[in-house]
Amino acid sequence: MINILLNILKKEFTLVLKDIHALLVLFIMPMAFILVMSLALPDTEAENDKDKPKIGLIFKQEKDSQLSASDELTKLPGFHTQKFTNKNNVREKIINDQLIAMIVVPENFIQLLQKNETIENNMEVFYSPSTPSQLRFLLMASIRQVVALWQLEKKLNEKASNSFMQQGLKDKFLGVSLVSEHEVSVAEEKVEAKQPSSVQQSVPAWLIFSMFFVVIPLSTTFIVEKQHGTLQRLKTLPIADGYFLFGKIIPYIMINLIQTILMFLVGIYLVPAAGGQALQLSDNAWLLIPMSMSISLLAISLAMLIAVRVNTTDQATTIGGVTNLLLAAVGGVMVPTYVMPEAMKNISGYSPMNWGLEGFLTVLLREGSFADIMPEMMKLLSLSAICLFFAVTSYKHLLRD
Amino acid sequence: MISVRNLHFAYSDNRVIFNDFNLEIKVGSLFGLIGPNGAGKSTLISLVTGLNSAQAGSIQINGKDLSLARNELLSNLSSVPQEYAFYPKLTVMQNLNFFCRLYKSINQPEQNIEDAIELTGLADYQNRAAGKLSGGLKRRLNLAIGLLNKPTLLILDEPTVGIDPQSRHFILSAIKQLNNDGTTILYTSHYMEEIERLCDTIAVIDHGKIMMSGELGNLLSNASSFQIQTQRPVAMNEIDACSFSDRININKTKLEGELDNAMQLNELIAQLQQFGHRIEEVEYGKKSLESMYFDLTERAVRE
Repeated sequence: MINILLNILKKEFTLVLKDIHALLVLFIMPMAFILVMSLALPDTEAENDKDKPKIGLIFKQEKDSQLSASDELTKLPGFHTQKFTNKNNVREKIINDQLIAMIVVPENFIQLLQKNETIENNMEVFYSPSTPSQLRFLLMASIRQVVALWQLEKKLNEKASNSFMQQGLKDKFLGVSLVSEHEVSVAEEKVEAKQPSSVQQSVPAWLIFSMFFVVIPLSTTFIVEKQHGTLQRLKTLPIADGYFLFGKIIPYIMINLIQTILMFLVGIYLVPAAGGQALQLSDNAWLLIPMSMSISLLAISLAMLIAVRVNTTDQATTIGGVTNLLLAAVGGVMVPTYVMPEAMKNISGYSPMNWGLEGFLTVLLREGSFADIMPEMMKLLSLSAICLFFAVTSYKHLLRD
Repeated sequence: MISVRNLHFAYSDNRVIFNDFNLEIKVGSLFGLIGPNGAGKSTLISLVTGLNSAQAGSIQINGKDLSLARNELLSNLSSVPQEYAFYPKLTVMQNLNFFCRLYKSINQPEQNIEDAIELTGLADYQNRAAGKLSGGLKRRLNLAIGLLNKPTLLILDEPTVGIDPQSRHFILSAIKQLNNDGTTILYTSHYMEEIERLCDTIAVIDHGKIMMSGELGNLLSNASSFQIQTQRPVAMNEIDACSFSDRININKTKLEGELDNAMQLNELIAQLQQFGHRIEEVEYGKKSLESMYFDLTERAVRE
């Protein structure tokens, strides 16, 4: 029995592998979309970063800027820091109000500080005359914290035996565990949903879009089987209908899973390599599999329904393609729902692609649990069952007539 | 081998195809099923191969009811449809492997594939994409797939449509060889000369009814007919002298009937000439299957 199923799976895979157009649509198209859209979509975090007060940072010795400790200065909280090499350029930008201040790090400053040696030249901060005093105070506080951190690290390196102990002592000295941050929540007030970054939006969105394109290889194979009498021939073989049904479903679930893995890898490795933000997965990443399978079942059922109901591959490609484009346009794939007006957001909730996208974002963005993605999964599986029922009924009708 | 009894079948749009239809096909025969388009041939094949189920009546194969022992019976029969029922993107070998391994009953798939390739002469084309084969080779592949389970009953639905004479000859020879080796074959075709050349038994069906059936040799030998056209009408008493006059029909200037031999035809012509009749046209000889077929199914073009 397993051999028969494996034989059917092998045939389906061979046919898909020989279909260059299907491979392009299933794998290359979403990869390209993810790359382009991850880089093209404005990142919320990056946008916020641009709104921060800008300061220029100059290391008098290039070697200092390469020390890992210098990262603390380049990531000063509350400020957008840009590195410069020419002091005059920075001065010009300050005069033109493009920067609010300039930090000049003297030669060997960090190294001397870490070695506890005498420092002859201080770190200097130059302000624009228009920089408000609150900002000057905030900047100085941030810089002092960084300098304190460097000194602390020096002491810890001498005293603590391992990095775990060092971190613990660092937290204790800096009072990390003594202060915790909270937001005031107002029960009656609707809390605005967290927005995905461009890569968090692009990877699941274009993955779902491409998953629905199984309609092309599936319908092409099915219509060829129908037109060539292969379907009739298969039906005269002494094997149960279930083999053919699973023979269609299983290979495309596997193809959809391969797409899922590949697209997430693109988000994790390829997008950052191209200059974008890397996709981060947390401990609940395994939930992407049941979510992906639910989307896959709906995509396959819908593809089967289209394949059974139409007569030519042209019809299948047109109907399948247009259906996918509409579902994607409405469902927040092409235009993220968070930029849609309220009315469109409501409509988008009717698109199965939106159910899938929301499920993925629940996992990626909101660190949701299995219970959190259940509503989306149930919607996808219910519609899948309806499509499959009509596909099987139409298929039986087709063979009889 | 196949026994169809009191069959009733109608499509979902209430088109009745068979009503109380009966047919017997003996073991080892090469049975020709002929009839115009829409006569019910393909529907009958779909019923015998289990693709459709009859609303009433029974189909028995080797004494077993198809509806009760479907899988067991389908393991031993094979149907070669009129269309190229395989995957054009797969190679010949990939197609044969795929179809062969769908049978649980086949223990040595490699051997069965090799035998099918040998019988259909596809050895040189194993790695060629099926869709790129010539029409004749596609027909051979179609047949080869049907032979993979070494069926005891092989159903061939117009297996030589649209191919060159060489390929047709090859396929017909293979079919004859299979039948000689003991395979019962149900063969449908619109080529009457193929049916005459191959089949030992035939049935002509039209509008879901059997118009004529029996052993082909008997059907044709019983049909040594004649037709004589005279210039002026012939009276019955003018041929009374012939001992076989009771087998002759006269319709004014046209005489027709069946004779035992050509001597009787000569005797009749001499008798007519004795009464001063001028003979304008004489036709004599075995009726061809095609002529019988047209007599039974009418010459009007069907859909």
